[in-house]
Amino acid sequence: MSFGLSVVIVLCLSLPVFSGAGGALFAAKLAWISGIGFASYRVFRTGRVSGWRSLFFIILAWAFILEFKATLLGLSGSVWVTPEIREVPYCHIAIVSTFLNHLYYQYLALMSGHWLKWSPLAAGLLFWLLATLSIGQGWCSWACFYGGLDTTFSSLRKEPFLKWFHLPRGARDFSLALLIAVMLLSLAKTQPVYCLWLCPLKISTGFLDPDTVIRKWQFAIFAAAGILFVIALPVLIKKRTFCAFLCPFGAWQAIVGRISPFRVSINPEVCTLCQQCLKACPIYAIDATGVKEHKISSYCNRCGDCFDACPTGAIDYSIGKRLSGTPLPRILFLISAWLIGGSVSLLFVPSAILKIIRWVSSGFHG
Amino acid sequence: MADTEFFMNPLVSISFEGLMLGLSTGSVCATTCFPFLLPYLMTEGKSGLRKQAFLLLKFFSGRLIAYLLAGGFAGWLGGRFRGRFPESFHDWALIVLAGAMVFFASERLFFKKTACLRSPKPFVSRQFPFLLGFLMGWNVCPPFLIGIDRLLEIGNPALGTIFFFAFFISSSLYLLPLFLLVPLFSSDRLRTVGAMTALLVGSGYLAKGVFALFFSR
Repeated sequence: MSFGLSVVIVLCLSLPVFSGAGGALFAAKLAWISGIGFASYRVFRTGRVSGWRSLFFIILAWAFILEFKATLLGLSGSVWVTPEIREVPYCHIAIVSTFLNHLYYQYLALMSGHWLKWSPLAAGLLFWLLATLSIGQGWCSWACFYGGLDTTFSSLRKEPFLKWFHLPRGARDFSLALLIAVMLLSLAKTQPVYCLWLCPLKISTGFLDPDTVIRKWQFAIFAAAGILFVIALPVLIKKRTFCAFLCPFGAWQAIVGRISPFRVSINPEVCTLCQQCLKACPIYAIDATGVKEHKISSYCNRCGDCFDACPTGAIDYSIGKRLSGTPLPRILFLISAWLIGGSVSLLFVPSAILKIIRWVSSGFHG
Repeated sequence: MADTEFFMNPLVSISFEGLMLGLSTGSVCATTCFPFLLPYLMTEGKSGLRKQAFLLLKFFSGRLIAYLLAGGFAGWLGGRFRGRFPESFHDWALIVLAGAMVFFASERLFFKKTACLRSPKPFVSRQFPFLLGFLMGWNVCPPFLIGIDRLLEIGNPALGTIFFFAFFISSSLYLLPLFLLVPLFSSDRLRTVGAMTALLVGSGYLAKGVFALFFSR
Protein backbone atom coordinates (compact mmCIF):
# COMPACT_ATOMS: atom_id res chain seq x y z
CA MET A 1 0.00 0.00 0.00
CA SER A 2 2.83 2.42 0.87
CA PHE A 3 4.38 1.80 -2.53
CA GLY A 4 1.06 2.36 -4.30
CA LEU A 5 0.50 5.69 -2.53
CA SER A 6 4.00 6.87 -3.45
CA VAL A 7 3.39 5.89 -7.08
CA VAL A 8 0.23 8.03 -7.05
CA ILE A 9 2.27 10.99 -5.78
CA VAL A 10 5.01 10.44 -8.37
CA LEU A 11 2.51 10.15 -11.22
CA CYS A 12 0.61 13.29 -10.21
CA LEU A 13 3.84 15.31 -9.96
CA SER A 14 5.18 13.89 -13.24
CA LEU A 15 2.18 14.68 -15.43
CA PRO A 16 2.93 18.42 -15.89
CA VAL A 17 6.66 17.64 -16.31
CA PHE A 18 6.06 15.39 -19.31
CA SER A 19 4.22 18.17 -21.11
CA GLY A 20 7.40 20.32 -21.06
CA ALA A 21 10.63 20.13 -23.04
CA GLY A 22 13.22 17.38 -22.52
CA GLY A 23 16.93 17.73 -21.79
CA ALA A 24 18.93 18.03 -18.60
CA LEU A 25 16.27 19.97 -16.71
CA PHE A 26 13.69 17.32 -17.59
CA ALA A 27 16.02 14.63 -16.22
CA ALA A 28 16.64 16.68 -13.06
CA LYS A 29 12.91 17.07 -12.55
CA LEU A 30 12.35 13.34 -12.90
CA ALA A 31 15.20 12.64 -10.49
CA TRP A 32 13.74 15.07 -7.95
CA ILE A 33 10.26 13.58 -8.31
CA SER A 34 11.76 10.13 -7.76
CA GLY A 35 13.38 11.50 -4.61
CA ILE A 36 10.01 12.79 -3.42
CA GLY A 37 8.50 9.41 -4.26
CA PHE A 38 11.14 7.62 -2.17
CA ALA A 39 10.73 10.03 0.76
CA SER A 40 6.95 9.67 0.71
CA TYR A 41 7.32 5.88 0.52
CA ARG A 42 9.53 5.90 3.63
CA VAL A 43 7.01 8.11 5.45
CA PHE A 44 4.08 5.86 4.57
CA ARG A 45 6.09 2.73 5.31
CA THR A 46 7.59 3.72 8.68
CA GLY A 47 4.78 5.99 9.86
CA ARG A 48 7.40 8.55 10.89
CA VAL A 49 6.83 11.91 9.23
CA SER A 50 9.35 14.37 10.60
CA GLY A 51 12.71 13.05 9.34
CA TRP A 52 11.99 12.84 5.61
CA ARG A 53 9.78 15.90 5.69
CA SER A 54 12.54 17.94 7.34
CA LEU A 55 15.07 16.81 4.76
CA PHE A 56 12.71 17.70 1.89
CA PHE A 57 11.90 21.03 3.54
CA ILE A 58 15.54 21.96 4.10
CA ILE A 59 16.48 21.12 0.49
CA LEU A 60 13.52 23.22 -0.69
CA ALA A 61 14.72 26.31 1.19
CA TRP A 62 18.39 26.14 0.26
CA ALA A 63 17.58 25.31 -3.36
CA PHE A 64 15.37 28.39 -3.48
CA ILE A 65 18.18 30.60 -2.14
CA LEU A 66 20.66 29.08 -4.61
CA GLU A 67 18.30 29.41 -7.57
CA PHE A 68 17.31 32.95 -6.65
CA LYS A 69 20.90 34.09 -6.21
CA ALA A 70 22.00 32.36 -9.41
CA THR A 71 19.20 34.08 -11.32
CA LEU A 72 20.25 37.47 -9.93
CA LEU A 73 23.84 36.72 -10.90
CA GLY A 74 22.73 35.88 -14.42
CA LEU A 75 20.56 38.98 -14.73
CA SER A 76 22.82 41.64 -13.28
CA GLY A 77 26.17 40.04 -12.50
CA SER A 78 25.52 40.47 -8.79
CA VAL A 79 23.91 38.33 -6.09
CA TRP A 80 22.18 41.46 -4.78
CA VAL A 81 19.10 43.08 -6.25
CA THR A 82 20.42 46.00 -8.30
CA PRO A 83 18.77 48.88 -10.17
CA GLU A 84 19.10 46.85 -13.40
CA ILE A 85 16.44 44.51 -12.11
CA ARG A 86 13.11 46.19 -12.43
CA GLU A 87 10.90 43.48 -11.00
CA VAL A 88 11.54 42.68 -7.37
CA PRO A 89 10.21 39.33 -6.15
CA TYR A 90 7.06 39.50 -4.10
CA CYS A 91 6.71 36.55 -1.77
CA HIS A 92 3.80 35.14 0.23
CA ILE A 93 5.00 36.88 3.41
CA ALA A 94 4.96 40.23 1.62
CA ILE A 95 1.53 39.55 0.14
CA VAL A 96 -0.20 38.96 3.48
CA SER A 97 1.55 41.85 5.17
CA THR A 98 0.22 44.17 2.45
CA PHE A 99 -3.15 42.48 2.16
CA LEU A 100 -5.10 45.54 3.30
CA ASN A 101 -3.30 47.60 0.64
CA HIS A 102 -4.56 45.22 -2.05
CA LEU A 103 -8.07 45.48 -0.66
CA TYR A 104 -7.78 49.25 -0.54
CA TYR A 105 -6.53 49.52 -4.14
CA GLN A 106 -9.33 47.24 -5.22
CA TYR A 107 -11.76 49.49 -3.36
CA LEU A 108 -10.34 52.54 -5.14
CA ALA A 109 -10.64 50.74 -8.50
CA LEU A 110 -14.26 49.90 -7.75
CA MET A 111 -15.04 53.43 -6.59
CA SER A 112 -13.58 54.90 -9.76
CA GLY A 113 -15.64 52.60 -11.94
CA HIS A 114 -12.76 50.30 -12.90
CA TRP A 115 -14.24 47.23 -11.35
CA LEU A 116 -12.67 45.03 -14.01
CA LYS A 117 -9.18 46.03 -12.90
CA TRP A 118 -8.08 43.18 -10.69
CA SER A 119 -4.65 42.88 -9.21
CA PRO A 120 -2.51 40.05 -10.65
CA LEU A 121 -2.50 38.74 -7.10
CA ALA A 122 -6.12 37.75 -7.57
CA ALA A 123 -4.87 34.89 -9.77
CA GLY A 124 -2.37 33.86 -7.11
CA LEU A 125 -5.29 33.74 -4.72
CA LEU A 126 -6.56 30.63 -6.48
CA PHE A 127 -3.33 28.69 -5.87
CA TRP A 128 -3.21 29.90 -2.28
CA LEU A 129 -6.85 28.86 -1.78
CA LEU A 130 -6.15 25.42 -3.21
CA ALA A 131 -3.05 24.99 -1.04
CA THR A 132 -4.83 26.27 2.06
CA LEU A 133 -7.88 24.09 1.54
CA SER A 134 -5.63 21.09 1.02
CA ILE A 135 -3.10 21.46 3.80
CA GLY A 136 -4.02 24.63 5.74
CA GLN A 137 -1.21 25.61 8.09
CA GLY A 138 0.74 22.69 6.62
CA TRP A 139 2.09 25.19 4.08
CA CYS A 140 4.54 26.39 6.73
CA SER A 141 6.13 22.97 7.13
CA TRP A 142 5.73 21.48 3.70
CA ALA A 143 5.86 24.16 1.02
CA CYS A 144 7.27 27.43 2.38
CA PHE A 145 10.66 28.08 0.80
CA TYR A 146 11.88 30.07 3.82
CA GLY A 147 10.85 27.75 6.65
CA GLY A 148 13.63 25.32 5.81
CA LEU A 149 16.22 27.89 6.87
CA ASP A 150 15.45 27.96 10.58
CA THR A 151 14.55 24.26 10.35
CA THR A 152 18.15 23.68 9.22
CA PHE A 153 19.61 25.42 12.24
CA SER A 154 17.09 23.93 14.68
CA SER A 155 18.00 20.46 13.42
CA LEU A 156 21.72 20.82 13.97
CA ARG A 157 21.70 19.42 17.50
CA LYS A 158 19.81 16.51 18.94
CA GLU A 159 19.24 18.23 22.30
CA PRO A 160 18.76 21.99 22.80
CA PHE A 161 21.39 24.02 24.64
CA LEU A 162 18.61 25.93 26.41
CA LYS A 163 15.43 24.09 27.35
CA TRP A 164 12.93 26.84 26.67
CA PHE A 165 9.85 24.69 26.35
CA HIS A 166 7.41 27.12 27.94
CA LEU A 167 6.50 30.64 26.89
CA PRO A 168 5.06 33.49 28.96
CA ARG A 169 1.30 33.75 28.60
CA GLY A 170 0.26 35.39 25.34
CA ALA A 171 3.80 35.39 23.89
CA ARG A 172 2.88 32.85 21.21
CA ASP A 173 0.41 35.37 19.82
CA PHE A 174 3.18 37.86 19.12
CA SER A 175 3.22 36.82 15.46
CA LEU A 176 -0.50 37.59 15.22
CA ALA A 177 0.08 41.03 16.74
CA LEU A 178 2.94 41.53 14.30
CA LEU A 179 0.72 40.54 11.38
CA ILE A 180 -1.97 43.06 12.38
CA ALA A 181 0.63 45.77 13.03
CA VAL A 182 2.42 45.36 9.70
CA MET A 183 -0.87 45.17 7.82
CA LEU A 184 -2.04 48.44 9.39
CA LEU A 185 1.29 50.20 9.02
CA SER A 186 1.65 49.05 5.40
CA LEU A 187 -1.80 50.43 4.68
CA ALA A 188 -1.07 53.75 6.36
CA LYS A 189 2.32 54.18 4.70
CA THR A 190 1.35 52.53 1.38
CA GLN A 191 4.57 50.53 1.60
CA PRO A 192 5.40 46.90 2.41
CA VAL A 193 6.55 47.78 5.93
CA TYR A 194 7.51 44.23 6.89
CA CYS A 195 9.77 43.83 3.85
CA LEU A 196 11.32 47.25 4.36
CA TRP A 197 11.95 47.04 8.07
CA LEU A 198 11.73 43.59 9.56
CA CYS A 199 12.17 40.67 7.20
CA PRO A 200 15.50 39.02 7.99
CA LEU A 201 15.32 37.24 4.64
CA LYS A 202 15.56 40.63 2.94
CA ILE A 203 19.26 40.61 3.81
CA SER A 204 19.59 38.27 0.87
CA THR A 205 18.34 40.88 -1.61
CA GLY A 206 18.81 44.65 -1.61
CA PHE A 207 17.18 47.97 -2.37
CA LEU A 208 16.62 49.80 -5.59
CA ASP A 209 16.90 53.32 -4.23
CA PRO A 210 20.12 55.03 -3.11
CA ASP A 211 21.98 54.06 0.03
CA THR A 212 21.07 56.34 2.92
CA VAL A 213 21.25 56.38 6.70
CA ILE A 214 17.83 54.72 6.74
CA ARG A 215 19.17 51.96 4.53
CA LYS A 216 21.95 51.23 7.02
CA TRP A 217 19.40 50.99 9.82
CA GLN A 218 17.29 48.64 7.77
CA PHE A 219 20.24 46.36 7.00
CA ALA A 220 21.24 46.40 10.65
CA ILE A 221 17.72 45.31 11.66
CA PHE A 222 17.62 42.58 8.99
CA ALA A 223 21.01 41.26 10.05
CA ALA A 224 20.12 41.32 13.75
CA ALA A 225 16.75 39.62 13.19
CA GLY A 226 18.30 37.08 10.83
CA ILE A 227 21.16 36.16 13.12
CA LEU A 228 18.89 35.98 16.16
CA PHE A 229 15.74 34.35 14.81
CA VAL A 230 16.97 32.27 11.88
CA ILE A 231 20.32 31.09 13.23
CA ALA A 232 21.13 31.67 16.92
CA LEU A 233 17.83 30.93 18.66
CA PRO A 234 17.02 27.86 16.53
CA VAL A 235 20.48 26.44 17.36
CA LEU A 236 20.13 27.26 21.06
CA ILE A 237 16.55 26.21 21.77
CA LYS A 238 15.88 23.86 18.85
CA LYS A 239 12.73 25.74 17.82
CA ARG A 240 11.82 27.45 14.56
CA THR A 241 11.81 30.91 16.08
CA PHE A 242 11.51 32.89 12.84
CA CYS A 243 8.42 30.91 11.82
CA ALA A 244 6.94 31.05 15.31
CA PHE A 245 7.44 34.70 16.14
CA LEU A 246 8.53 36.77 13.20
CA CYS A 247 6.59 35.42 10.24
CA PRO A 248 3.27 37.19 9.58
CA PHE A 249 2.32 34.49 7.08
CA GLY A 250 2.41 31.86 9.82
CA ALA A 251 -0.09 33.87 11.85
CA TRP A 252 -2.20 34.45 8.75
CA GLN A 253 -2.32 30.75 7.98
CA ALA A 254 -3.15 30.00 11.61
CA ILE A 255 -6.34 32.01 11.12
CA VAL A 256 -7.39 31.23 7.57
CA GLY A 257 -5.88 27.72 7.53
CA ARG A 258 -8.89 26.60 9.52
CA ILE A 259 -10.75 26.25 6.25
CA SER A 260 -8.74 23.07 5.69
CA PRO A 261 -10.47 20.05 7.21
CA PHE A 262 -7.18 18.52 8.38
CA ARG A 263 -6.10 18.88 12.00
CA VAL A 264 -3.60 17.30 14.35
CA SER A 265 -5.36 15.77 17.34
CA ILE A 266 -4.43 14.06 20.60
CA ASN A 267 -6.22 10.90 21.66
CA PRO A 268 -7.08 11.54 25.36
CA GLU A 269 -7.45 7.83 26.06
CA VAL A 270 -3.89 7.05 25.02
CA CYS A 271 -2.13 10.28 26.09
CA THR A 272 -0.05 9.92 29.28
CA LEU A 273 0.54 13.70 29.67
CA CYS A 274 4.30 13.13 29.38
CA GLN A 275 4.71 16.46 27.49
CA GLN A 276 7.15 15.02 24.96
CA CYS A 277 5.00 16.59 22.21
CA LEU A 278 5.34 20.00 23.86
CA LYS A 279 9.12 19.63 23.89
CA ALA A 280 9.27 18.39 20.31
CA CYS A 281 6.95 20.98 18.75
CA PRO A 282 9.25 23.35 16.83
CA ILE A 283 6.83 26.27 16.79
CA TYR A 284 5.31 26.27 20.29
CA ALA A 285 1.91 25.11 19.06
CA ILE A 286 1.42 22.92 22.14
CA ASP A 287 1.56 24.38 25.64
CA ALA A 288 1.14 22.79 29.07
CA THR A 289 -2.56 23.66 29.25
CA GLY A 290 -3.01 22.26 25.76
CA VAL A 291 -1.45 18.96 26.81
CA LYS A 292 -3.75 18.74 29.85
CA GLU A 293 -6.80 19.50 27.74
CA HIS A 294 -5.50 17.50 24.76
CA LYS A 295 -5.69 20.55 22.55
CA ILE A 296 -3.25 21.74 19.92
CA SER A 297 -3.33 25.41 18.93
CA SER A 298 -4.16 26.70 15.47
CA TYR A 299 -0.48 27.57 14.99
CA CYS A 300 0.24 23.85 14.41
CA ASN A 301 2.14 23.40 11.13
CA ARG A 302 1.27 19.71 10.65
CA CYS A 303 5.01 18.94 10.59
CA GLY A 304 4.65 15.62 12.37
CA ASP A 305 7.47 16.13 14.88
CA CYS A 306 5.09 15.51 17.79
CA PHE A 307 3.85 12.19 16.31
CA ASP A 308 7.35 10.85 16.25
CA ALA A 309 8.11 12.13 19.76
CA CYS A 310 4.96 10.68 21.32
CA PRO A 311 5.86 7.42 23.09
CA THR A 312 2.30 6.09 22.98
CA GLY A 313 1.33 7.17 19.45
CA ALA A 314 -1.48 9.32 20.82
CA ILE A 315 -1.15 12.06 18.18
CA ASP A 316 -2.12 11.86 14.53
CA TYR A 317 -3.69 13.74 11.65
CA SER A 318 -7.45 13.93 11.81
CA ILE A 319 -10.33 15.30 9.79
CA GLY A 320 -12.13 17.61 12.16
CA LYS A 321 -11.14 17.71 15.80
CA ARG A 322 -11.47 14.02 16.66
CA LEU A 323 -9.27 11.14 15.69
CA SER A 324 -11.21 8.64 13.63
CA GLY A 325 -9.03 5.66 14.46
CA THR A 326 -8.41 4.96 10.77
CA PRO A 327 -5.32 5.85 8.71
CA LEU A 328 -7.44 7.68 6.11
CA PRO A 329 -6.91 11.27 7.38
CA ARG A 330 -3.15 10.65 7.59
CA ILE A 331 -3.03 9.23 4.05
CA LEU A 332 -5.13 12.04 2.58
CA PHE A 333 -3.15 14.75 4.32
CA LEU A 334 0.23 13.31 3.41
CA ILE A 335 -0.72 12.89 -0.25
CA SER A 336 -1.94 16.53 -0.33
CA ALA A 337 1.18 17.77 1.46
CA TRP A 338 3.63 15.93 -0.80
CA LEU A 339 1.74 17.17 -3.86
CA ILE A 340 1.60 20.82 -2.78
CA GLY A 341 5.17 20.84 -1.43
CA GLY A 342 6.37 18.82 -4.42
CA SER A 343 4.73 21.21 -6.91
CA VAL A 344 6.36 24.22 -5.24
CA SER A 345 9.73 22.48 -5.09
CA LEU A 346 9.62 21.63 -8.79
CA LEU A 347 9.77 25.35 -9.54
CA PHE A 348 13.39 25.59 -8.42
CA VAL A 349 14.89 22.44 -6.85
CA PRO A 350 15.64 20.59 -10.15
CA SER A 351 17.20 23.70 -11.62
CA ALA A 352 19.29 24.21 -8.47
CA ILE A 353 20.41 20.56 -8.60
CA LEU A 354 21.54 21.07 -12.20
CA LYS A 355 23.51 24.17 -11.26
CA ILE A 356 25.28 22.32 -8.45
CA ILE A 357 26.12 19.41 -10.77
CA ARG A 358 27.51 21.79 -13.41
CA TRP A 359 29.44 23.73 -10.82
CA VAL A 360 30.98 20.57 -9.36
CA SER A 361 31.72 19.06 -12.78
CA SER A 362 33.45 22.30 -13.85
CA GLY A 363 35.83 21.90 -10.91
CA PHE A 364 34.07 24.56 -8.78
CA HIS A 365 34.57 27.29 -11.39
CA GLY A 366 32.02 29.65 -12.87
CA MET B 1 -31.06 81.95 -7.90
CA ALA B 2 -31.97 81.35 -4.28
CA ASP B 3 -29.89 78.19 -4.35
CA THR B 4 -26.87 80.07 -5.62
CA GLU B 5 -27.23 82.65 -2.87
CA PHE B 6 -27.49 79.91 -0.30
CA PHE B 7 -24.20 78.36 -1.41
CA MET B 8 -22.58 81.79 -1.72
CA ASN B 9 -23.06 82.27 2.01
CA PRO B 10 -19.54 81.75 3.44
CA LEU B 11 -20.85 79.75 6.39
CA VAL B 12 -22.69 77.33 4.18
CA SER B 13 -19.99 77.08 1.56
CA ILE B 14 -17.20 76.46 4.10
CA SER B 15 -19.33 73.83 5.85
CA PHE B 16 -20.01 72.20 2.53
CA GLU B 17 -16.30 72.22 1.66
CA GLY B 18 -15.37 70.57 4.96
CA LEU B 19 -18.13 68.02 4.59
CA MET B 20 -17.08 67.14 1.05
CA LEU B 21 -13.41 66.96 1.99
CA GLY B 22 -14.21 64.45 4.72
CA LEU B 23 -16.48 62.38 2.51
CA SER B 24 -14.14 62.28 -0.45
CA THR B 25 -10.92 61.62 1.47
CA GLY B 26 -12.36 59.78 4.44
CA SER B 27 -10.89 56.46 3.35
CA VAL B 28 -7.40 58.01 3.38
CA CYS B 29 -8.21 59.47 6.77
CA ALA B 30 -9.24 56.02 7.97
CA THR B 31 -6.05 54.33 6.76
CA THR B 32 -4.05 56.86 8.81
CA CYS B 33 -6.16 56.41 11.93
CA PHE B 34 -6.70 52.64 11.82
CA PRO B 35 -3.17 51.70 12.99
CA PHE B 36 -3.87 53.48 16.27
CA LEU B 37 -7.57 52.90 16.60
CA LEU B 38 -7.82 49.18 15.80
CA PRO B 39 -5.27 47.94 18.36
CA TYR B 40 -6.81 50.24 20.96
CA LEU B 41 -10.30 48.91 20.33
CA MET B 42 -9.02 45.32 20.33
CA THR B 43 -7.58 45.96 23.77
CA GLU B 44 -10.29 48.12 25.28
CA GLY B 45 -13.41 47.52 23.17
CA LYS B 46 -16.39 46.77 25.39
CA SER B 47 -18.92 44.09 24.67
CA GLY B 48 -21.85 46.00 26.21
CA LEU B 49 -23.55 48.51 23.94
CA ARG B 50 -23.70 51.20 26.63
CA LYS B 51 -20.03 50.89 27.59
CA GLN B 52 -19.00 50.89 23.95
CA ALA B 53 -21.13 53.98 23.26
CA PHE B 54 -19.45 55.73 26.18
CA LEU B 55 -16.01 54.88 24.82
CA LEU B 56 -17.04 56.06 21.37
CA LEU B 57 -18.34 59.31 22.80
CA LYS B 58 -15.09 59.99 24.66
CA PHE B 59 -12.97 59.23 21.61
CA PHE B 60 -14.97 61.41 19.24
CA SER B 61 -15.17 64.26 21.79
CA GLY B 62 -11.38 64.30 21.94
CA ARG B 63 -11.12 64.21 18.18
CA LEU B 64 -13.72 66.96 17.75
CA ILE B 65 -11.98 69.27 20.21
CA ALA B 66 -8.65 68.69 18.44
CA TYR B 67 -10.21 69.48 15.07
CA LEU B 68 -11.97 72.61 16.32
CA LEU B 69 -8.72 73.86 17.83
CA ALA B 70 -6.79 72.98 14.67
CA GLY B 71 -9.37 74.74 12.50
CA GLY B 72 -9.47 77.82 14.70
CA PHE B 73 -5.69 77.95 14.98
CA ALA B 74 -5.11 77.50 11.23
CA GLY B 75 -7.65 80.21 10.48
CA TRP B 76 -6.04 82.56 13.01
CA LEU B 77 -2.54 81.78 11.74
CA GLY B 78 -3.63 82.33 8.16
CA GLY B 79 -5.35 85.61 9.04
CA ARG B 80 -2.35 87.02 10.89
CA PHE B 81 0.69 85.74 9.10
CA ARG B 82 -0.45 83.93 5.97
CA GLY B 83 2.13 81.50 7.27
CA ARG B 84 2.49 77.77 7.74
CA PHE B 85 2.57 75.33 10.59
CA PRO B 86 6.19 74.73 11.54
CA GLU B 87 7.69 71.77 9.66
CA SER B 88 8.41 69.85 12.81
CA PHE B 89 4.79 70.06 14.01
CA HIS B 90 3.87 66.79 12.32
CA ASP B 91 6.80 64.96 13.90
CA TRP B 92 6.08 66.26 17.39
CA ALA B 93 2.40 65.38 17.08
CA LEU B 94 3.34 61.88 15.97
CA ILE B 95 5.85 61.42 18.78
CA VAL B 96 3.32 62.45 21.43
CA LEU B 97 0.60 60.17 20.00
CA ALA B 98 2.96 57.21 19.55
CA GLY B 99 4.41 57.76 23.02
CA ALA B 100 0.90 57.72 24.50
CA MET B 101 0.20 54.48 22.60
CA VAL B 102 3.39 52.85 23.88
CA PHE B 103 2.55 53.93 27.42
CA PHE B 104 -0.98 52.56 27.14
CA ALA B 105 0.18 49.23 25.67
CA SER B 106 3.00 48.82 28.19
CA GLU B 107 0.60 49.49 31.03
CA ARG B 108 -1.77 46.83 29.69
CA LEU B 109 0.94 44.27 28.98
CA PHE B 110 3.49 44.66 31.72
CA PHE B 111 2.18 46.68 34.64
CA LYS B 112 -1.46 45.75 34.95
CA LYS B 113 -0.89 42.71 37.08
CA THR B 114 2.04 44.03 39.06
CA ALA B 115 0.76 44.44 42.60
CA CYS B 116 2.69 47.61 43.42
CA LEU B 117 1.41 49.44 40.35
CA ARG B 118 -2.13 48.16 40.43
CA SER B 119 -4.85 50.75 40.77
CA PRO B 120 -8.61 50.37 40.47
CA LYS B 121 -9.02 52.52 37.36
CA PRO B 122 -6.34 55.15 36.93
CA PHE B 123 -7.35 58.53 35.57
CA VAL B 124 -5.12 58.17 32.51
CA SER B 125 -6.70 54.85 31.69
CA ARG B 126 -10.24 56.19 32.11
CA GLN B 127 -9.58 59.21 29.96
CA PHE B 128 -7.43 57.44 27.40
CA PRO B 129 -10.15 57.29 24.70
CA PHE B 130 -10.50 61.07 24.93
CA LEU B 131 -6.73 61.54 24.88
CA LEU B 132 -6.37 59.17 21.93
CA GLY B 133 -9.08 60.99 19.99
CA PHE B 134 -7.51 64.34 20.81
CA LEU B 135 -3.99 63.30 19.81
CA MET B 136 -5.20 61.54 16.69
CA GLY B 137 -7.12 64.66 15.75
CA TRP B 138 -3.87 66.63 15.84
CA ASN B 139 -2.02 64.12 13.73
CA VAL B 140 -1.36 65.11 10.22
CA CYS B 141 -2.89 63.01 7.48
CA PRO B 142 -3.24 64.15 3.84
CA PRO B 143 -6.89 65.28 4.16
CA PHE B 144 -6.01 67.20 7.34
CA LEU B 145 -3.21 68.96 5.46
CA ILE B 146 -5.53 69.88 2.60
CA GLY B 147 -7.93 71.35 5.14
CA ILE B 148 -5.19 73.30 6.92
CA ASP B 149 -3.92 74.63 3.61
CA ARG B 150 -7.38 75.87 2.69
CA LEU B 151 -7.80 77.57 6.07
CA LEU B 152 -4.45 79.31 5.86
CA GLU B 153 -5.73 80.74 2.61
CA ILE B 154 -9.07 81.87 4.12
CA GLY B 155 -7.48 83.25 7.28
CA ASN B 156 -10.58 83.30 9.49
CA PRO B 157 -10.65 81.41 12.81
CA ALA B 158 -14.45 81.14 12.97
CA LEU B 159 -14.72 79.75 9.46
CA GLY B 160 -11.79 77.45 10.21
CA THR B 161 -13.62 76.00 13.20
CA ILE B 162 -16.76 75.45 11.13
CA PHE B 163 -14.77 73.88 8.31
CA PHE B 164 -13.15 71.36 10.64
CA PHE B 165 -16.42 70.64 12.42
CA ALA B 166 -17.94 69.64 9.08
CA PHE B 167 -14.80 67.68 8.22
CA PHE B 168 -15.04 65.89 11.56
CA ILE B 169 -18.67 64.86 10.92
CA SER B 170 -18.07 63.36 7.48
CA SER B 171 -14.66 61.75 8.13
CA SER B 172 -15.98 60.11 11.32
CA LEU B 173 -18.35 58.04 9.21
CA TYR B 174 -15.34 56.00 8.07
CA LEU B 175 -14.21 55.27 11.61
CA LEU B 176 -17.56 54.31 13.08
CA PRO B 177 -17.68 50.74 11.69
CA LEU B 178 -14.61 49.83 13.75
CA PHE B 179 -16.43 50.77 16.95
CA LEU B 180 -19.30 48.54 15.99
CA LEU B 181 -17.34 45.56 14.66
CA VAL B 182 -14.30 45.09 16.89
CA PRO B 183 -16.14 44.49 20.21
CA LEU B 184 -18.04 41.62 18.58
CA PHE B 185 -14.80 39.63 18.61
CA SER B 186 -13.77 40.70 22.09
CA SER B 187 -11.90 38.10 24.14
CA ASP B 188 -9.03 37.98 26.65
CA ARG B 189 -6.71 36.62 24.00
CA LEU B 190 -7.63 39.36 21.54
CA ARG B 191 -7.08 41.99 24.22
CA THR B 192 -3.51 40.77 24.72
CA VAL B 193 -2.96 40.65 20.95
CA GLY B 194 -4.40 44.18 20.70
CA ALA B 195 -2.04 45.47 23.39
CA MET B 196 0.95 43.86 21.66
CA THR B 197 -0.17 45.36 18.34
CA ALA B 198 -0.53 48.76 20.00
CA LEU B 199 3.00 48.43 21.37
CA LEU B 200 4.39 47.51 17.95
CA VAL B 201 2.51 50.28 16.12
CA GLY B 202 3.35 52.85 18.81
CA SER B 203 7.04 51.88 18.78
CA GLY B 204 7.14 52.02 14.99
CA TYR B 205 5.63 55.49 14.84
CA LEU B 206 7.73 56.69 17.76
CA ALA B 207 10.90 55.61 15.94
CA LYS B 208 9.62 57.24 12.75
CA GLY B 209 8.86 60.53 14.52
CA VAL B 210 12.17 60.65 16.38
CA PHE B 211 14.09 59.77 13.24
CA ALA B 212 12.28 62.38 11.16
CA LEU B 213 12.78 65.04 13.81
CA PHE B 214 16.41 64.49 14.69
CA PHE B 215 18.09 62.65 11.84
CA SER B 216 16.50 63.61 8.55
CA ARG B 217 16.89 67.40 8.68
